[in-house]
Amino acid sequence: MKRNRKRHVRMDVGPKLLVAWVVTVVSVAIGYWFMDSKCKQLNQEIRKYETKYDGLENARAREGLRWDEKKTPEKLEQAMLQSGLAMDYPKASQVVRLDSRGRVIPGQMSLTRINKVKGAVSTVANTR
Amino acid sequence: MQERPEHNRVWFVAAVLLCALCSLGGRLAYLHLANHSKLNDVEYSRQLLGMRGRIFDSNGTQFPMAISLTARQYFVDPMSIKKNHDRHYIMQAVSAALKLPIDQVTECFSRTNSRYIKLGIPTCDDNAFALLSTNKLLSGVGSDETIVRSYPQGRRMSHVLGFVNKEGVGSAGVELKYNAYLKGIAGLIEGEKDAMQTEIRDRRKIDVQPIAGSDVHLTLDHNIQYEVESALREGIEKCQAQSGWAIVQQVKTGAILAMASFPDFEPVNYNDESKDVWRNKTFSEIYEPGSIMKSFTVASALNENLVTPNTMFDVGEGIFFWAGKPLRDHVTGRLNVTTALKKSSNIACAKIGLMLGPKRLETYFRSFGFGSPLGLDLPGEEGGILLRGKDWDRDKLKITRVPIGQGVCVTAVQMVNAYSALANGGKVMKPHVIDRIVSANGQVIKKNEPTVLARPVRPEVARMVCDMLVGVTEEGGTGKKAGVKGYSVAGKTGTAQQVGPGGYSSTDYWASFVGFVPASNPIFCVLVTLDRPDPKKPRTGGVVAAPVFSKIATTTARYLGIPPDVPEDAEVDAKEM
Repeated sequence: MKRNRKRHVRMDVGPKLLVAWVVTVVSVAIGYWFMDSKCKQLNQEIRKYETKYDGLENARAREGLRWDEKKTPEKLEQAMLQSGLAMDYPKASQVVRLDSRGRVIPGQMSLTRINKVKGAVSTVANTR
Repeated sequence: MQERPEHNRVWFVAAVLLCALCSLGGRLAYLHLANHSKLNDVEYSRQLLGMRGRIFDSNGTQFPMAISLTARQYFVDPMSIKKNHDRHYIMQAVSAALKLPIDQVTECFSRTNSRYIKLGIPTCDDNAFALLSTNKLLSGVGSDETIVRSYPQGRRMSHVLGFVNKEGVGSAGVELKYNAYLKGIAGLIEGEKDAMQTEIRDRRKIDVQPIAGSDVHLTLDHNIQYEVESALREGIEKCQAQSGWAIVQQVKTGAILAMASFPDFEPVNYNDESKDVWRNKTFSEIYEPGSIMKSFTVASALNENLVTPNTMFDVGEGIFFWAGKPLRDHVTGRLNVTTALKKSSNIACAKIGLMLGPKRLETYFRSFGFGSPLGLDLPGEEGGILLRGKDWDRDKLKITRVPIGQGVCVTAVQMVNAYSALANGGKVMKPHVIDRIVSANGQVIKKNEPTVLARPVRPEVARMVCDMLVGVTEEGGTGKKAGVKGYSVAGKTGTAQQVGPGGYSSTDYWASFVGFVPASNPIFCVLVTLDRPDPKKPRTGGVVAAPVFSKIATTTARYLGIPPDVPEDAEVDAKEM
């Protein structure tokens, strides 16, 4: 048999003021609880990110070390030899030194070579 | 009558809630008033590691020579292994994760005398942590966060850098001297933890972040150091010397560009070598320099106007008696001061010493930096031995021996610094290996500026000696093998007998060469000393040390981009034309 709920709408549960007070307190408590749990959740997230940041920072440092170990002079030399390459410093005649204005510094050994090359170029030009 | 059951339900719910509230209140009161210890257990405390500062070479922050990393030290507590866990499985899992031999792990697990048994050395492997921390079938295995020091270039500059001991304290070299700057300050987090032993972030009471240590920037260049170490190692192997050292110093500032001492060691595994190997012999070993000292005898006499480069000396048949003892020379006849230096005449230099007298000789030598530490910014610097005041009177022979580098002990740093002074117009600079110290926030805490310690000789005298030293590396000089293609070289050879229990040894020698490049406008000075080259082979400084000098000077001059001062190419071009 179906119950007619409308018949029991009016129900006196106590003084209205008390009810209002209880409702207010409960609302505030629920609000507080909700905010508190939200704060906790955010804090846990912050903590997770802190841990992740530390982990990434450590990983970055380790990668840095691996890279630093790979670019030592002997490792570079080894890598070049494996590729059939060899490097040496340029000869004095292969170096052109410029001053701050971009002009060739006089008195350099390279100047002789530059002039010689210049002369050769002009000779070639004249013979054409 | 129909409202009655509704009231009952409401009051029932209220009663249940009240009961729940009362029980919670009761529990709260119990925890607060009767059982504090449980509440205390929730306290969370974590120390944050203060990273040790880095050490860089002279190329900015591009090439770290020493860095710190966080790592984990795994340990086992055999008592904490749960009864329902398979011990054999745990051992195998640990062995696989930490890449340790199973025998070593088994040995650790079988020990019962401790509840903290370290498993291998600290490791930076994240995979190991992931494997061990997520496996629910493991117990009794834990890890502590720690800091490990790494040296990306291995043995390079090992004597300058030093090392850090197991407690993370600098124990040699720069690591020791600047430990106060390098060490970081630990941070602290205090708060509360939950039932899962995880920190409750919003209950954090103390949050002090760690401060990283300051970074030390060296004056040394790892590329020059590499060349120096390679050349020195090769030189030692070639003449089968017991040990050796080499220094490259910038003439104008006193900054050390490279400093190598052999045998060397791995800073990470410093315990693999004996304590003697840890010593940086470039400033902690004193030795009789031999003929390389003669340059200062000549410079002192020139400064006192007692001689000129052309003053003649008669060395007779190559034997000179003083205080009843003979002094032998490989040169005979008459020769001037320039030739005396070029051919390294003992008798001529002893006679110059006699002209100067003990007092003046001592004053000059002390001004050049011999006899006391120079204040190098590394720990353990020796001062050497130089007779003082009345000691000269006690041994009359000394005035003929000290001018030729006998009866006086110096360090390699003192010697290279004194030659740099000659190359620097007579100004003795303070040698240093530290360029600056920079705090973690980028502030320069300490900066080493070039400091003049003394000016023993006039600039023109220094120039005169430099010109005379060029002859040593030319045809007829003792250091012909020290020549550098494209550059003029000024230098001096030295071969000194070592002192043994019964006097001077006839087999053990110090073979040295010291010089600067380019001689016309010196930029850097190099010293090479080889200790006890094979007595069966030629072992003079000009034969064994000069080629090493040549190699070092050639690569350093090219690396620094110093313009050549010998018109080698011009000559070639002229011939071609």
